[in-house]
Amino acid sequence: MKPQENLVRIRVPACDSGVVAVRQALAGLCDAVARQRADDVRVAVTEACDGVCRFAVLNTLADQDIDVEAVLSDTALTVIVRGAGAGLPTTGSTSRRVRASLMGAVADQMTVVPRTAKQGTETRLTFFLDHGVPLR
Amino acid sequence: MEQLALNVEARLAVADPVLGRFVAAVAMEAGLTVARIDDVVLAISTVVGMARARHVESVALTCAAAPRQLDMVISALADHGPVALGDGPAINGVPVLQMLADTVDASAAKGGRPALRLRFTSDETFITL
Repeated sequence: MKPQENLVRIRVPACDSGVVAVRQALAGLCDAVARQRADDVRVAVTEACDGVCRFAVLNTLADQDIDVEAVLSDTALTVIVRGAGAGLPTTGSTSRRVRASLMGAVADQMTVVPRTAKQGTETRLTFFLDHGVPLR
Repeated sequence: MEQLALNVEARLAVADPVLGRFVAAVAMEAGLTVARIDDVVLAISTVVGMARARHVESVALTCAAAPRQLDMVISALADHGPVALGDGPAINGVPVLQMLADTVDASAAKGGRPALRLRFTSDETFITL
């Protein structure tokens, strides 16, 4: 496997069942390439996906999707979550602040890129792999 | 659970754990029994093995989940020509995929390309305690 390879791409509906499927798929990915960060990845990605779902529900947006990509480099696993919504403001509701704090705590780097209102938000979570990448 | 369409694509090196756990989660959400979920996961392993034999770089599948029913359409295998069930493992001449799934359609098409369609159903509902 080459570095900087896009390992996984997922598109699921923005609903609870979709979040469960994404979480399990990334848990499987961590089993293969980043076992030591599996719990961190699961927590952060679940929060990011749940944020997309909550925005879809609160704004009664039908047919919204969650797009997830996982990219592996020599030293890190990066998970990018895209969905509708205005992102994670530093001020605002308590649940949003908690969600952002939690993702920031378990991921080594977190970047929230608000795109246009139509495009939604991109959350980029980076997890460093301390001991290299144990590829099979 | 309402009708859902879920898409996933994984590089071959990680396809087995990623797709296996993905479809297991979808099957559980659809309410398939544990025995049927085992069949689904085993079918995915079989498909990944077929992809490996065909030197396909990545495996993409679309799941359509409805109550007690899961349809999977796998198109990446067809990048190197039409998929034949005989390409996969068989027991006493019967393809394993045919044993695992309720129906197998090797002539399905997805986006104008040939694809493999598998359907799994459960008569009973998965019950969580």
